[in-house]
Amino acid sequence: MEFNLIRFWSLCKRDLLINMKTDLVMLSLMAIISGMIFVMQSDPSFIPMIIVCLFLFLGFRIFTEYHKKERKIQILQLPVSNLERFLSVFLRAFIYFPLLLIVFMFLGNLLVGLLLYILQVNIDFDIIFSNSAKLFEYLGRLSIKLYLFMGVLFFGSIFYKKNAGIKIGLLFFGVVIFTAILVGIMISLMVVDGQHITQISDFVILSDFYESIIGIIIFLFFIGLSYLRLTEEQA
Amino acid sequence: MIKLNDLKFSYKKNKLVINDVNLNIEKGYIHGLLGKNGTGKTTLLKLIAGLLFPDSGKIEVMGFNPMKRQVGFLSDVFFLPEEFEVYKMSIENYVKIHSKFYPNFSMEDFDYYLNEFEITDKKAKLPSLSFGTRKKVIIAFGLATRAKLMILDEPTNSLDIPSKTQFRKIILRAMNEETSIIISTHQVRDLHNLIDSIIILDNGNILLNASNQEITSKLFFGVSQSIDSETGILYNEESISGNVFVKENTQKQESNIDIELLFNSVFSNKEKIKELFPNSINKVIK
Repeated sequence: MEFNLIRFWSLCKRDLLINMKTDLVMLSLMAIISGMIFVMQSDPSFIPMIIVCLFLFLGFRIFTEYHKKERKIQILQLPVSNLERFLSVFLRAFIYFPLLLIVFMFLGNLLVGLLLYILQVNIDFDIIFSNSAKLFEYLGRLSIKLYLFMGVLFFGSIFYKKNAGIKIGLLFFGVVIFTAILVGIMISLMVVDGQHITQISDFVILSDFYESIIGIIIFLFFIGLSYLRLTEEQA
Repeated sequence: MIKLNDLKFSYKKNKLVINDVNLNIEKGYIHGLLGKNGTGKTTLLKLIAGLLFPDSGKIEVMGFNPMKRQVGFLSDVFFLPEEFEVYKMSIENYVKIHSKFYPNFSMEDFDYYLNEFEITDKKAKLPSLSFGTRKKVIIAFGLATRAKLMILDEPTNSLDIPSKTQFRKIILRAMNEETSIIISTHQVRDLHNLIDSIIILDNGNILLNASNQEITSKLFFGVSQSIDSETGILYNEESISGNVFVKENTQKQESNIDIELLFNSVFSNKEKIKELFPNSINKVIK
């Protein structure tokens, strides 16, 4: 596997510059939409749903250069190694996008709140700040599950060409069912071993733990498959 | 430089686009790849560039296996597709961010080629340019990379007449003994006085692969008011200057290749051409 840090950095910069305008427009839109909901909604239970939806939209920006035939030729003939090509997309999907999304969502909340304040709409700034704090809390709690979700999107966006949305949806559904069955089996095995679960909170902690472990394994599996798929990508 | 052995490729099962092709392409020459529409020209070029993977057979380009897409291979190959999409940026920025990947890139050459194509504003946004001008920018960039293998798929499509002349001029300037250029086109007149050898594809097979010298030693290209007196004519057609024809060069006369005539004569006399060029058709490289 060839890897050169300078070349890789040049590739990351190239990808950033090529996609910057579209990324910024998309993230700004997301920020405004989420800001509107955050400002107007006092119940924080909607936050995980918003986060998942926004990450889903981000999925459309993964491997964008590999979706169009004309663009694919350009990226595939660029003198960089498959590993460098893969890592630049990986960084975009799993570090650059989530970080920017958090920043944009936070700024979006403040901007929408400020705008409504200027327009003299009666708003409660406490809700904005408490929702923004909850956002970080949920992101922390959901991080592993979100990454599993992004892992499936990552794989699907390089693997599926036609009806990608439907196929990724089915794949995700399959992964969730598979994980739930595995978690169920593991917990039931524990019960058989005599370690009885008497409280719901214990069950939740245990299933969260197993879900995280299985999630990480599935994530690594899909990332590995995505790399192999990229090395076989043809124009 | 390029060796293809028993190459097969299909997009769909049981429908071979490239069928058992054997080919050896030497460095230091400009090769014209000709063929009717849909005969597999672009597919063959993509296979050489590592953009497609063969079903079976072997490809070796400059000692590399194109399928592996190694950096050393990719930095010495430039493929210009017939259709491409440009990024939303200026010419200047495009060159700035892409030239870093090509160790031999020459900004001096790039400026020279742009100048030859009469493109003066490097700050112009690529999407705002006409398709022909965009193509000129990409051709200039490709040649400035000083890649050892330039693969140009229909490069003269959408170029105006003066640009076609400029194109021929800069291609000849970019050539040296270490470089090879493969130009695929169905506009055969654009290759006049440019190519050193001709490869003709027909339904995924090589029909002819010969140097200009070899072709003119075996075929005579002539013009006559009456072709009744001529013998061994393979192909003829009427023109303003008389009857232009191709015949077997039994008397070892000198003539200049008329690529369009050659093309038509090859397709109307496939068996005879195979007989005349036995070593050039489906050359097997051992």
